This record gives sequence, C-alpha cells and structure tokens, in this order.
Amino acid sequence: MPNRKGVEMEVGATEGVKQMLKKASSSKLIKLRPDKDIMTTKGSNKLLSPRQEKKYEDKFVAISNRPEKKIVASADTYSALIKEARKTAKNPFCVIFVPKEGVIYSH
Amino acid sequence: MKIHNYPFTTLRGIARPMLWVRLSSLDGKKRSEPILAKIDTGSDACIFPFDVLYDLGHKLRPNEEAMSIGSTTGTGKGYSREVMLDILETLPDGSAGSKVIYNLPKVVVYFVWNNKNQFLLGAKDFLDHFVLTLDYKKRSFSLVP
Repeated sequence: MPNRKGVEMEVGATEGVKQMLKKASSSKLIKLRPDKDIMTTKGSNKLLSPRQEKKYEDKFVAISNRPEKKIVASADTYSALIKEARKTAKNPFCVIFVPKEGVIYSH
Repeated sequence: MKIHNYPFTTLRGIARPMLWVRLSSLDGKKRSEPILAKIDTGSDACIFPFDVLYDLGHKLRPNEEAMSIGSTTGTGKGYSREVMLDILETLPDGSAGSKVIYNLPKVVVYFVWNNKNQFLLGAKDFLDHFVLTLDYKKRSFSLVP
C-alpha cells in the first residue's frame, strides 16, 4: 500500500517540519498534493464501479462529480464524447478511456 | 510542484502511473476537458487521440503529411502540434479538480489516428522535465521537476 502520509514523510523527517506543514495547511505544497483518500478502494472513491463498466468497455466516458459522481456520457471517439457530454452535462466533467476488460478505479 | 507517492490508477486490473491533465492551445483560448493520461516511459513523446486536436482549435494544413508515430502499443499515423499542458489536481473522490498543479507552456504532442485509447505522457517535452520515480511494489510514483 502506498504511504498515506506521503506528503509529510517525504518533505521532512523531523517533527518540527511536520508541524510546520500542518500549520501551513493553505500552503501550495500541501494543497497541490493528491488527497490521501484516493488511495483507498472503498465506496465512492472508485472512479467507476466495476458493475457499471461492462457497457462502457472500450469507450471514452465522461464523469461528472457534481451533484454526485456519475457517468454523464460515453462514446467511441473523444470528439463524439465531448459533443454528447457538453450537451447533457450541466457540470464540469473529466474524460477517461475504459479498456476492453477489467476494472478501472482509483487504487 | 512536487508529486510524491502518488498512487497508481488501476486499469484492467493493472496498476499504472496516471495523472489528470488538460491540453490547451498556446494562447490558452481553447482547451480540452480534463483527461486521465498514463505516464509512459516507453513512449518517446506525448501521444493523444487525433480528435483532441480539433478540440484545441487546430486544423490540418493543406498537404500536410501524416507521420508514423510509435508507442508502446503500436504505430499509428498522426500529426504533431505545440500545445500547453497542465497537470491538474486530483480530488478526494479520484476525479479531476480544476486547479493546475504544474504547467508546461510548450509541449509537442502527437495526435494519432486509430489509437483511441492513447493518452500517453512520454519522454520528449514531458518526462524530460522531471525526475520520475516509479515504485511498482507500493504502487505509487513521484514526479519532481
């Protein structure tokens, strides 16, 4: 498993540095780091659930996380996906290609 | 910007180093949606599907000849363009955020036909800006300018 305290551990080994980083919660360094929750495979942290995936295999999918995380469009090509997603999605979305087999989720 | 111990993303049961990125035209007026792209040490350059090119407002020049572009998954025909590349933050739910964590103002990206699953971040203009550390055992990677 990846180190869930990767930020602090990486930046400084001393307690003092860790404290300083905690206090500077608004600092760029901390904010720019990926959230530790992405490392889990539980529940809503998955980008797509394996059950949803079958029909999206070998397709581009657009995922919106507002108001809840869901697939807002899918298509065989990037341009077709963007066209459909911009029509249907009311909120920002991001693009993933789902390979033919297996699962895709944040690990 | 430093990315340390960034977890791999699992695709087809295989964990890979991937990042959310966005391409933009050099003037920043046109841009793609956030895309999950794979860091690919086997690719000589950044490779994206051909139709992303149109999303950035680029057009083919008359009589422009396609190049053969190779990657880890094969060879395809395509065209190169200079674009801007932003690495985006990852939100707690695993999706892309809007905040730019690193900007590469000029990157040559190869837009390739019939290679639709290619969102690859390769050596030229991308990896050659960073020190990349891959830890397959821990399924994480680090990217330091």
